[in-house]
Amino acid sequence: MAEVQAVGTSASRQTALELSGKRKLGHAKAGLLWGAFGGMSWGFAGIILGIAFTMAPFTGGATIYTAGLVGSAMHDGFAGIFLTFYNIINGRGSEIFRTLKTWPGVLVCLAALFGGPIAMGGYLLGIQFAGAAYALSITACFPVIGTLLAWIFLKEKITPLVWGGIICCVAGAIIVGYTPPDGAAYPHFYLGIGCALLACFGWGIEGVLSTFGMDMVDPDIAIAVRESVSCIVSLVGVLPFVAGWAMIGESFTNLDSLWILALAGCIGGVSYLAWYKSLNMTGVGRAMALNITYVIWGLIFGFFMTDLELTRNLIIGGCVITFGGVLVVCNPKELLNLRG
Amino acid sequence: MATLPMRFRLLYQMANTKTATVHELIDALNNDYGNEGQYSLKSFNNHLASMRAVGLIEEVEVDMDTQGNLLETFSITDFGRTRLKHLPRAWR
Repeated sequence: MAEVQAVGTSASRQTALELSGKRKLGHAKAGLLWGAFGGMSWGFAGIILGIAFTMAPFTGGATIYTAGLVGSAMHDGFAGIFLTFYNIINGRGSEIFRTLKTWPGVLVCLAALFGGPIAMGGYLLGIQFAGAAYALSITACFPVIGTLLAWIFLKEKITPLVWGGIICCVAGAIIVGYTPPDGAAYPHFYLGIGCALLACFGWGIEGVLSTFGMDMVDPDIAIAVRESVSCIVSLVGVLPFVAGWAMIGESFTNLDSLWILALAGCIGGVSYLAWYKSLNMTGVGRAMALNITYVIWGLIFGFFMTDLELTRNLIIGGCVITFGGVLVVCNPKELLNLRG
Repeated sequence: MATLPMRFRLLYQMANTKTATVHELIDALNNDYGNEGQYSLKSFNNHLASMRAVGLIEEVEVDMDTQGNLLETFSITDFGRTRLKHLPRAWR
């Protein structure tokens, strides 16, 4: 890397170098803030989404995962609409179509496929076939997979301290989500483990593909494309197999749950926007570690907004996640150059 | 040729000039993006900051302009040039 040359008088040279350093550090800190905000807002969106899932028609469904898949597709649809309008208002509407005509845009569409229908489908099937205890623990490891892939394919620099933070965040999320195996027989147990691993890799691959694409595409555009493509593929390629269209039709006659789902979609859209910005500005490893702090935010919002009881697991897991988050953000100067 | 996404166009522009400041880039892209809401100093600075952080471009010179604002001069890196192979065929 070339050494930066300062020109002008001695005084202005010194000021320029200082301002340049401050601007770079400001960019890195902004990326960390976007990451933390993404985690917090995803925790909030999850609570709102959870409220919608307690209402008709999402309490029924042809299969036990119909409601989850329909809710996920509709959430992404509302988020995609919200983000498209956000870009149009900010004078970037044309960028969406320009992006779709380029290879980085295609990569963002692929990221949508991996992070949307593939990962979400794997997650729900993993719970179905192997039980929540194993499926949730495995899928919580997606930041480790994403960071490894980013280290290999994007040559992202990950210091031992950040690795420690990522591991703590994942461990905390597993502690929070862990429930002892319920003793039920799972005849397709290993298929369920495979589905959970698919989800884990799906979210990891999404982070790396979209981050590669965002080298050449604005994150605000990338996330609008991601959410819209995820919704369309789910509607066309997934929901017909689980009688999902019937539930979508019902949801439009239940305005009580529909507007709550729309609200969750808009909040989720803002959260995803923050996550994609942080992927671009701080790198995959840190962004994913900060994103998974949604678990602790979900606990906090859940405690105040629902009848969530704080158990020992939740408190210990929350503390471990917080410690991991601190390790990830404690040295923003490492973020001045993200890749080796 | 179809218009590129602005960030990709900035990379293309950097590949076709030895060095450039944000003001030179704003002038160069005026014809393609001048009438769009995203055509602003803030937007260009954000793109350049992100592209620098991931190593597509590098800062080669810093100075203060006559208004006392920081003026950075950038050039494309070898790593940034590797991304040009993903340009649409018409732009290569």
